[in-house]
Amino acid sequence: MSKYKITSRQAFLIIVTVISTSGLQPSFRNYMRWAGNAAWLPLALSIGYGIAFVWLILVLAQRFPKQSVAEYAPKVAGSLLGYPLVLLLIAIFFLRGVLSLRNVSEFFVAAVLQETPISAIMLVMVILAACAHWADLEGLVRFNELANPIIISSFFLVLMGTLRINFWNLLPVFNKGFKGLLPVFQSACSDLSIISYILFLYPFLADPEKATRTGHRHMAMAGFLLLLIYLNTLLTLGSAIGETFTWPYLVVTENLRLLERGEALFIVVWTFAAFVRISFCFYIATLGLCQLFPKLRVQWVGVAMLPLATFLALQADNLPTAVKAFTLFNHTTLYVELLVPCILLVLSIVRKKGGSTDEKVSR
Amino acid sequence: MKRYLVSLITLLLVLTLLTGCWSRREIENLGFATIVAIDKVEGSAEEIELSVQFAITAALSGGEQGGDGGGGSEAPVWTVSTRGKSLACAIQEMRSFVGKFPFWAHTRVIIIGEELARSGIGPAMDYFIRNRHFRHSTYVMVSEGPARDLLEVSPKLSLLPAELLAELNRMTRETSDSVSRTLLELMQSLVEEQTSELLLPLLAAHKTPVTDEASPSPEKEETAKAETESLQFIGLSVFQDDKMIATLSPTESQGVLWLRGESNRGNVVVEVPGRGLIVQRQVYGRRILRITETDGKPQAKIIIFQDGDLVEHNIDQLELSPAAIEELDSLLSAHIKAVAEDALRKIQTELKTDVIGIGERIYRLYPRLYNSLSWQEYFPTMPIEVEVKASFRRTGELLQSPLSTKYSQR
Repeated sequence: MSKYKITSRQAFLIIVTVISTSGLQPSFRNYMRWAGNAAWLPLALSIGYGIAFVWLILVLAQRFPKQSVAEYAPKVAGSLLGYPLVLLLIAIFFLRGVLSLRNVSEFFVAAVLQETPISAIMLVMVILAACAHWADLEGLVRFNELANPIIISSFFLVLMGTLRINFWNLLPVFNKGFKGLLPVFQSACSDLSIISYILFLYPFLADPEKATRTGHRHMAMAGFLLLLIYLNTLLTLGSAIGETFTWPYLVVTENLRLLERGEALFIVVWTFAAFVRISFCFYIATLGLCQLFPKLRVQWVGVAMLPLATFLALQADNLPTAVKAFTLFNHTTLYVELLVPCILLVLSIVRKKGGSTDEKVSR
Repeated sequence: MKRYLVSLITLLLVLTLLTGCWSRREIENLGFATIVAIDKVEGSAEEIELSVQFAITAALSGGEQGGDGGGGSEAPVWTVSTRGKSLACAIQEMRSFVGKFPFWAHTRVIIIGEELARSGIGPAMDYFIRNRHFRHSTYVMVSEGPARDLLEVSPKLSLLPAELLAELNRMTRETSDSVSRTLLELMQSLVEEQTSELLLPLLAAHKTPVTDEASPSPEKEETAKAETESLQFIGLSVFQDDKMIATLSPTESQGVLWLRGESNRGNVVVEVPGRGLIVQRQVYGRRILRITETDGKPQAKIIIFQDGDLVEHNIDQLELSPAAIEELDSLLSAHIKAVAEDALRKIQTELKTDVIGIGERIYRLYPRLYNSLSWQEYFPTMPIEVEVKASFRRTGELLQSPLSTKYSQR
């Protein structure tokens, strides 16, 4: 593998790891609170959305095979619209990283380090994220390749260790009505929309011809993993008590009969997943900026960006505020992440940019 | 040069991670709580009494017995009590004189005093479920009388009273005359509105009869304490919402557990009219709950499937032929049905509390029907049919008892 080339599998494997950290976010609690027993239905539907979204961004990316969105967006949409659209995507990744940093740190404080100041945990995460920037894309994807099987295994181990599964917890299906289904769908789709990082990574793919197939497969894997983890939580706890916990999945891991007190091991494993999620969000934001402004270097921009991220992550005064910020962010960014590639695709078709008609500019 | 500089900065940053951890607790500074008991303070509506049994780790590691390190039959534990308006306040008070940081992760059992249970346990449970150190798999039970008093027992075959209680909880699966409930299960029952009402095991002191009648009266209290040799479950405590409303005897508990489908083991003693007793060791138990709707009202049918082994009988001239077994099966079924119906009658007419989970089943399968009812009012009058299909499967190593035949003529 050359320094700046990664395989499609490596690129799309990231989404599986990133989605696996949903149990470390307050998402599940929100799902149960909004839709009760039926939340798994919109979650299952969101897999379809995710696959369709992968198709959309790959159609766009394949029109400009050797360029990132930061390079072709200004050409397709003009400088006035193109740059803001790219900056919007970059901002979303940066903020996603900020919120993940806060949520994951809160999780570790609650789960293992009750008396450690959250800023200390963030500092560690930020240092690790900085190291990831120095390791560059190749280092990140290789680390993810190594950690991914361990991370995925941990969820299956939890599932196997859960003896208290009660299928009656699925009934009655619509105990909270239909109103909550849409927010769950939005939130899950927003989580899966993180795959839009491919717009920035596409020129790095060594085998772009495999991207569509690999992308769909990995998106389905990520979606099913999310569904599996959620169903494990719902069937173990039930939605009534599940919604009272901040991290219901943590409670599930604390109640394993086959692996008593095994959650400590799992939390260590999930630290890797959290590291990948946070580092990757920041890395994509940094990479996007560097693609917009080619004179910038990823490493130094990353190092400069991380203190700002920590500062922003600490802005929420308390846990409920952080959870609310996360929820609001998920609902709003879904539409932005969907609209940006849609606008660019429509404009590229209308203006006959890209594809067979467009010039292919190499980096 | 730049690379060296970056490496140096990274190294320095990483070094900051090696300086220790805010949340560290040195093991020698920890007090390992094994049992937590909470009671209502007499004459105070607000205060609760917290009693904690700490393991004396030095005595444990040395294999010594005795809380004072002086040997004897006392368990290597130290029991302390404090009072406070909340558990957090009581724990802080406790820390001021215990000299160790209470470590809750090894707490096996939470005992709730009867008086507190009758006044409502919901508020007291918040601390346990919120605090990360308490395991959700911790067993919870209600004591007959004050919970604090039960911490004074010194078990003979277990090193720690907590071990005895954990073992008693596991034993409920073998006896099926009580149940074990964990903190998580308790919370699920309390939080879910439509679930069956809460049942918790009822714990009491196991006392041996007084033999020394000549004891002078001032020492009578001490003698009474010495009588308490162990702890035992004496049935179940029944809750409505978060308040304990009644207790069930072991036989009633057995009936309720059959109705709930939670009875899998234990002896069933069947009287054969005019002939003697037969004892079955149950090895399998299952319940099917069928809900039907008639005139907009639900009806329930509970079918109990049960089988086990004949382990003992004292009936003369009983040859265990297929016809005889069939007859015994019907006697067994009738016995189980009678016990289950007695328990059902009590919970329907006396307690008016659905501890079987029929309401939950109706809610899950027919939520509209459930919501159209006032369940608390409907349950006592609900038609519930009980059917039992019980059988003897094996008879041990005997088909005919030689001893009962020989000696029954005496």
